[in-house]
Amino acid sequence: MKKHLFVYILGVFFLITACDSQLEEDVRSQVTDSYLSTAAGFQDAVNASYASLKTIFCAIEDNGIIAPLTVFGTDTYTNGFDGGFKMMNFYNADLNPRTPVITTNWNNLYVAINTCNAVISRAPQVTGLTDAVKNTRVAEVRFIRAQYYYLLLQLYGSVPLPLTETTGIVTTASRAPIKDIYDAIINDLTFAVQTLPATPANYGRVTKPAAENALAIVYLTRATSAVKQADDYAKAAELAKGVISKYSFKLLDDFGKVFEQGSAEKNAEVVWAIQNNKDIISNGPGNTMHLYFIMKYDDLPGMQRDIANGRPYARYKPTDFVLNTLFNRQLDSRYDKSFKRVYYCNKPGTYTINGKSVTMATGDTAVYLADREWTAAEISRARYNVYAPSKQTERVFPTLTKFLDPERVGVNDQPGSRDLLFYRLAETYLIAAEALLMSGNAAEAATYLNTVRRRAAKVGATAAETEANRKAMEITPGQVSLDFILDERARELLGEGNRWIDLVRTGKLLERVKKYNPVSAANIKDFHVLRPIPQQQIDRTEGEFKQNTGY
Amino acid sequence: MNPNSILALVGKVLKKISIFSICLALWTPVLAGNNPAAKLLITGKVTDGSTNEPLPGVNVVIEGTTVGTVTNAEGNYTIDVPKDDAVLVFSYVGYNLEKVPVTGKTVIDVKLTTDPRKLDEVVVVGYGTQKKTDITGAISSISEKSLKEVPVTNAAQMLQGRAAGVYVVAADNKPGAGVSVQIRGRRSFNAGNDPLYVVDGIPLSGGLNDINPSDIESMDILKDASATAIYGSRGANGVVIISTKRGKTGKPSVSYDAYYGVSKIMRYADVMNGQQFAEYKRESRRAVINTATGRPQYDDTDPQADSKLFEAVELESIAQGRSTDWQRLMVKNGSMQNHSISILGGTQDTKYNVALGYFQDKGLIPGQDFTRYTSRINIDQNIGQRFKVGTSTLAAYSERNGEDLNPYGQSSDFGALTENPLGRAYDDNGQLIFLPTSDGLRSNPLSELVPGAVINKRKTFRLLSNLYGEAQLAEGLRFRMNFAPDLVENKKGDFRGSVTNFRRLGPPAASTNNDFTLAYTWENILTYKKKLGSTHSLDFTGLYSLQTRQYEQSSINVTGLPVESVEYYNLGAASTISGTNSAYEKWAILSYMARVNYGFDNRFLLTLTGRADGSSKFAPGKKWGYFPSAAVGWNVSNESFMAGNKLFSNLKVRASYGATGNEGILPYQTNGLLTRTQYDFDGTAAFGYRPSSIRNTDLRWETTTTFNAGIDFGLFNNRITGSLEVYQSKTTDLLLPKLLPITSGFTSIISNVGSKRNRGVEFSVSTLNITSTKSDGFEWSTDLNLFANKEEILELSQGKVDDIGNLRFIGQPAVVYYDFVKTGIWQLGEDSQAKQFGSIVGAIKVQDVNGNGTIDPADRQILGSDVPKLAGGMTHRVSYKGFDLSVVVFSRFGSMIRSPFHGASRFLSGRVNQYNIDYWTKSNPTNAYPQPNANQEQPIYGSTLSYFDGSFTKVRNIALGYNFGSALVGKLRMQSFRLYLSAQNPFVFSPYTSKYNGIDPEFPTTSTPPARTFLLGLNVKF
Repeated sequence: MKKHLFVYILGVFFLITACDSQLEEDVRSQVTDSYLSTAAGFQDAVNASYASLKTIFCAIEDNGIIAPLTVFGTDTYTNGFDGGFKMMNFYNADLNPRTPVITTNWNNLYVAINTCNAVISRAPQVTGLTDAVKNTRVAEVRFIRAQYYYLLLQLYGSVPLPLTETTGIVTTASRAPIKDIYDAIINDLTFAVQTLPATPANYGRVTKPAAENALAIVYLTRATSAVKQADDYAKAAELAKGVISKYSFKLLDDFGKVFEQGSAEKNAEVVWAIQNNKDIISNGPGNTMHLYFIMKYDDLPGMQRDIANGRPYARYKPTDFVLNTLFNRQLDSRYDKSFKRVYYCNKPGTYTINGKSVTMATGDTAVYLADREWTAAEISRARYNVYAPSKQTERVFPTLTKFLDPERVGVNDQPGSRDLLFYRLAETYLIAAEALLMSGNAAEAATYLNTVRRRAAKVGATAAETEANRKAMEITPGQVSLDFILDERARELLGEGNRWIDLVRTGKLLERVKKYNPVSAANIKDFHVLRPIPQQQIDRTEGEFKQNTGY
Repeated sequence: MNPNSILALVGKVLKKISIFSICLALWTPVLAGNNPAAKLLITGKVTDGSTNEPLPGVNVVIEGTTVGTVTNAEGNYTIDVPKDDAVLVFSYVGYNLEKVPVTGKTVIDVKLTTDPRKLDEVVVVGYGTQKKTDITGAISSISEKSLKEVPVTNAAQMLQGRAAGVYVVAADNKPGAGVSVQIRGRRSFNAGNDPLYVVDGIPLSGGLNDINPSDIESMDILKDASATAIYGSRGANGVVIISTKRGKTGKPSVSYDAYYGVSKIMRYADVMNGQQFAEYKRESRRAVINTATGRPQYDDTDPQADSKLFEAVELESIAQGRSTDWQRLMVKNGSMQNHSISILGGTQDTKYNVALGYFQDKGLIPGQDFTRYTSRINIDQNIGQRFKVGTSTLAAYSERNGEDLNPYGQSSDFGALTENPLGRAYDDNGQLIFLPTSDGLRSNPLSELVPGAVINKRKTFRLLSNLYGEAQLAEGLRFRMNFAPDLVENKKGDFRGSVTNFRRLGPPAASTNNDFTLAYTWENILTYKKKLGSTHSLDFTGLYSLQTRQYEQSSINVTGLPVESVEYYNLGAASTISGTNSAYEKWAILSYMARVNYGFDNRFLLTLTGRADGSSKFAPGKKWGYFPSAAVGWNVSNESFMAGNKLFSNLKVRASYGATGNEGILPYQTNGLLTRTQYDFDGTAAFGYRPSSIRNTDLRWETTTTFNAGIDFGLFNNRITGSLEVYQSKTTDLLLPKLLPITSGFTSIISNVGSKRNRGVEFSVSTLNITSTKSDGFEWSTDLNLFANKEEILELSQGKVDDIGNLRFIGQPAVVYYDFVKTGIWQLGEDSQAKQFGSIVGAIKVQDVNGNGTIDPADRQILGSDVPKLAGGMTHRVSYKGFDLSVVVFSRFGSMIRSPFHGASRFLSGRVNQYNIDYWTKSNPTNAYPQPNANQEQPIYGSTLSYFDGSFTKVRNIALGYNFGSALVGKLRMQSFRLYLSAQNPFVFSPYTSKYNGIDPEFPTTSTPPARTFLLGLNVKF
């Protein structure tokens, strides 16, 4: 028996020694971070830096898209009927350090920055790529990082400024001086300008003119800040003028063509665009901007929700200032080309309209948003619902057409396939104009404004008539003012997601909101030029992390 | 199936079974032993004194000799006695010893009476069994009898209200859903608080859903460190040891257990009807002032106000007084049925139990059901004198429908609970209207129930087997090897048709998700038992084991199926692949363990345990954890000075101290991992990877040390028995997601930080209130258990500093409700005070706790916790003349719950329906709920409305049974026959339901309503 026992014990020991390797981890379906230091992993981290652009600028609002923070609560847009982000327009107690959209944007921006930092920090160790390719990729990513710091600076003020990849547990954070943040942004963009090619290897990658455009905006912004430099405006003007003159960009003849969907998205006016496409798997969250500006048409007689008209989130309603005052509707084509004011019946049937029974067929006018008050007689003649300006509400208002995406598959699909035209040449003209005006050169500023305005003029029945309209759109140097430029930006760039930041840059947020947006005017205070620091950040940081004043 | 047809079916089955059992009975003469002829031959039958069931395997010995025999399967015995003044001694585990003088009789029939103390004599502990009197740790045992009282889906539900310190609440109301089990509170934040389940000696990964509750013989719950240290690596949360029924020597006995029942909704939510909803919607617009006109959006002075606010169908409903009761249109009666059959028997060398089970639970919401088929084979075979082999094998197949579906309405976007009552469900032709109102998000919830519209089916196959071999190496020295593979395959298919809320008329979508788990446990156990003289006993156990689990998963999602009838069976036909995925995961634990039990003179007991575990989940160099424990016991009642004592029939004091570990985190946490990203350049895909977690090179075991002291007592000849335990456990190196300031790019990292403490008292008592000397007399007994556990966080990632970001506070339990304190509603005339606090009249008034004149984050307070101050259960059993009645009650007091429906998104926004609550209007100056406001997704400080007292008392089950007398039973060739009626959850008492319209305080959700079930069942034994 003793012999048997010995054999058993020996056998068990053999098995035991064989098993120790079981405690080694074997990561298969996930990828560990050392991958990012390989040539392929480095390229993937660059792609991930691009992907973060979609999270920040294109993704669904709940997930922290920048749109809820920059469209309404301004002079051009107020809140529509639906949605949980109205505090951004109300400036009430709901806009506080715990507001989810404030927190998610902050979080998404810093996750994106760490992704960029991983590329920048690891580049020197990566082998298997030429220095030229590595430099170009790093420059692209530094451009993206600069975008994020610029946004953080404009939204939250002084913020932490990590510029290298986080490799260990970090529990501290402190708000960097504004000067340092500007320096970092300008360093990144200057490197990008010096390194990037004018024409990229793939459409959609960051280019030299895109970096110049960005740098122009940054100088323009720093010029109004506490750390301004004397030559900021001059540099901004020079960079913007360079983007306009040095490359083959040009304004399209027709303002309406700029936002055509499909291949037309890649047009001569686009300096740089965030990419989206129709392949569900690579598109991911896609571009969701198509959702927010649509009026609530689908509960009106003769109408139901369809893909062509879009999913009506009804988040943002143009202010009365935009609808009634901003545009010279006789001359300026941009009012008609920016708004959809008529809906055609897609749910045929018999309805009671304006006190009488009306049978509507598909394609008949069902809803019309008039641009003036109608008389009772006019209304009673109409065989469709008429909403004169006084009848327009948070549900019923002209729909901004720039982002509509009728090429989606399902009516309620949120991911859209449209590129987000991040920088387009018309804005570069307006940047040049602003920088020139602020440098004391109103005459030259007027020429840049007039280029944009002439393009916007209505096409007449004859060439002469068209030219007369264009002439009439022109302004004189004496008419150029900061307010005029802001109005022009509103006309040209309406809804394009940078209004709040433009108003903060020019110091006009309170003045213009109080003047043009009565809903926001009721509560807005001086401190609202900055967003609150998320409470989460304050709670989780070891040591003190100061809140912005007022919150 | 109605009860009549069940009885008919049962009759048919019984006929078949009796034929089968006759076949088996033919074998018994072969199996039974023969006695040589002798002078005086005595025969007789031994039966149970209360049930008259024959008792097989009873030892019959001639007093003063070693001569004896054992009763056969019918309880009969024959024995030769040398002389007629001999005394026969009848002994059987769990029964009182009976001595009968022969005095010339040749037939001696004996009725054995049960001994309440001795019934629980043997307790299953880790890697073996122990006599209850030798136990030094804190262990609660639940007998087969108690387990049978409450018919359940999941064996863990049987623990509710049954054992002190074991806190069980429902995790969902859907058929086939699991339960949440906590033993002595929560220790861990992140590494899980589920106990370890050990089935027939093998630790399970995953819950008990595949185990047929009818197969279970006993459940033993190990609670303190001494008892659980044997499972050191995974014992910190307590261990539930489940033993399934094994074969016994004797004639095959066939049992058939069945029940069928109807479930009805326990309570409909009191939501607004059409008229109430209309008024509420108007009020929500009265609260909004149109900035252009300065008038309210709903202007009562405007005769057109209604037609501006409501759409056609709503106006029509208002005019006609029409209201759609979506809940009642959706909820139907459900049903529950169970059939188990088992054949159990054996010879000296071969013992077997073969069981088949069928269980079905059809829920209250059509399309939600759970069906389970189980088979069990337990075999033990002796090979010669020294060797033994055997198996416990479970094969289970189940189908679960609708686990991800919530048409009743959890979401604010969709569901019967929140659907607008002014909309119509059906048109004049009786056809479903897909969009009852123009609200494009809110499609008709009834359209989900249309057969084929939505399919959500999980098929699970599980093979759980334990194969063992045992060898006796020398006297008292045994070696046992267990090899236990556990295979689980899940196949999940999902289809969402076009006319559903998921697709909202978009193209149909489908997906499949398959996973496969291969886990195995391999154990080598050496045991040595030795008695040194009459006073010393020694029991040694040594173990080496390996456990691994390997998981693979793959899924594919598509949209745009051309034909809906394809469902998810031809994903290739879809126009678009919207996602594909696969995954792999593996972990392993290596363990060495040794345990010594030493007993001195049946009075002093000592247990020492040491265990070393290595886990693959931890960082290199930190993989091994060491968990020692020690326990002592003193059987006071065995002391000589207690000999003449009338009061105490049993008294034992115990104490233990030891450490256990927890490694219940996901593998690969010590690696920095990446997340895939999506992008394209001009239509060419450009996938990428970005950092998503930081590597932690210091990740190690979470350790809990527990001190436990207990007293076991039996009073008045064990009429009253029970135990009292006090304990304190401290968990250190908590595996906690340490939340980081996001500016580093990461939100959190799993790390070992902080510590927690649990302190508690447990009391359980069983009393025989009324006993009878007659076997069918009136008897009444009660089991009661009460327990209180106090959970406290001692330290967090920054030391003794509250972590407000994670709602973790020093001195508080792991889950607390931390929010502003609602004091009422701002009333008319309080405009200026309201304005001072940035609020308005009609909105929620919260307390400015720090009195600084503004409401800021510092005004948030800890309002309560989900930990009950006291919980317990009570079971009453009454029997009389064949009738038996049992009532099981479960209570908890002093916990707080958060009611999701009271604080949902769009609450009081005038868009979706909700509880018919007392909201503020100018003419109704209540302080209960604020004024509805169409401009808010939910009211400011709206979360303050969702906290409620979670105390409740639930009558879990009432069962009334009747045991048919031996005359009828004999005629039907049965051993026993019992019919019973059972009502599950018949009564609930709680302030949440009686005062606040709540649905169920145990599981406060709105996804699937709780049910009340009425069952008719039978237990037959041949």
